[in-house]
Amino acid sequence: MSNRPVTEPAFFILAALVEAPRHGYAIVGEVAELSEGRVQLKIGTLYGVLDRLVGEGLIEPDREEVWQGRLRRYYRLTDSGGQCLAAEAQRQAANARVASDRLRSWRPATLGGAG
Amino acid sequence: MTRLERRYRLVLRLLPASYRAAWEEEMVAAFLESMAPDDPEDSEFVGEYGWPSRSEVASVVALAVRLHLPALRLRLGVPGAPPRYAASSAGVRRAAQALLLLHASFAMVGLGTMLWLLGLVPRVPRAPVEWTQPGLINRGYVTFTLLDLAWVVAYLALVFGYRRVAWWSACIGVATAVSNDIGRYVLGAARSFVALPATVLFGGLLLVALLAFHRDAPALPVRRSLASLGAGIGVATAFVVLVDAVLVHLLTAQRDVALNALLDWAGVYSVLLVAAALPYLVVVAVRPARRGSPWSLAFALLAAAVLGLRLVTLSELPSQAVGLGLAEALVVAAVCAPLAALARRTLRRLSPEPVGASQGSLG
Repeated sequence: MSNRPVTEPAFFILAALVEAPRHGYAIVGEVAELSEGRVQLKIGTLYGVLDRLVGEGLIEPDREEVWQGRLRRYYRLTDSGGQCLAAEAQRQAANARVASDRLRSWRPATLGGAG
Repeated sequence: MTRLERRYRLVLRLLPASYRAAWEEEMVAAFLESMAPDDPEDSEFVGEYGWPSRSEVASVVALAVRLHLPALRLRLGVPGAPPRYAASSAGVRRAAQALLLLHASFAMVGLGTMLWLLGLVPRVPRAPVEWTQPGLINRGYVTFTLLDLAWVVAYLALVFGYRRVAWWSACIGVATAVSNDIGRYVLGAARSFVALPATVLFGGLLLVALLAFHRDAPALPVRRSLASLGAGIGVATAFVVLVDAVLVHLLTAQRDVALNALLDWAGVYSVLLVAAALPYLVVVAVRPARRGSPWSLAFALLAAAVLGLRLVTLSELPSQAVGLGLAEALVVAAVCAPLAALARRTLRRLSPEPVGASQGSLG
């Protein structure tokens, strides 16, 4: 597994493959749904990340189908991809906890706090 | 195949061939699905008149840049690069250094000229009064002359190993030249609009060439490079004084025509290139062992650039000087041809396959 930080698109692509193998355009739709429309993957970005994730062994091709005369290649999460996603989710959760704890004792300057 | 698909495949041509072989069909399928309209009746219209969005194109461009970078780094001759790329990188470095040297030398001559016009050079006869009119020696002239010294900073930074300073200083030099061209155009002093794109193109090429001075590139010999700058300033001064003196005093009637062809930048580069390349050609003709030198490629690159510059700036010359300009182009082409053949033969003899770091001596 690579030590490189997991980018936001890679994080959501890994998350999109947890439930089931998906093909390229299905990943785009799933990522948009998971991120509540915040991450809209472009095709160039998607395949740049897929290429890297396959290279790092975090995902792998599952099967190929022909749909309306065109190739659809499905990808699935590997064990190491699942571990990577879990580690990244834990890291992000820990970061969020730290920020939330600090924010609980913070009062905005407009309400008389230190700002 | 719809026009939309054809357009998207055209964009994908930016990607390396090996990448396209593996991913193109999938990318096209996913893209076309993403473009499919909700109403199937619109699909024919989208297929005919639809275009990949700017953000879609930008994502492919960004991917192409990321994928091409390792190959570009190899071509710049980083450790592990194939001998052929290492040798071409060495040639590019010499060409870039020679161009910086040229710019720096003329920037110093420009500074000397300005100081002379301002009467700040002791023990030298003062400039004629008509050359020192306030309209000629104005704030803009002084500013451009001083900004042009960025080339000197770039050259010295390169010699002493400060690559980033060198690159950014060269950017200032290019920007100054571009501003100068825009100023000439705005003031109506330019005969055509070709000088500006030519300056941008050749300035851009120089900035790209300077990337060949990467962190693993061999250090430049400091003493020899500084001596080259001294000699360059001497040659540039002699060139300007000689051409000006000869043309002013001996060829008065022809002065303006010849000056225009000889002293615009393309003319200066042409004359200096031929003066430097001819002795080199003689040397490699006499001593075949020198034919593998990176200077063959460096001269070939410089000659090609000068030839291009001379040709595109012919329209800048007054009609009486175009013949002289064409003659310059022909001479440069005549010098360019054997240099290009020599460089090609040298590079073809070297392997394009990586063989570890065995090419260290080529730098």
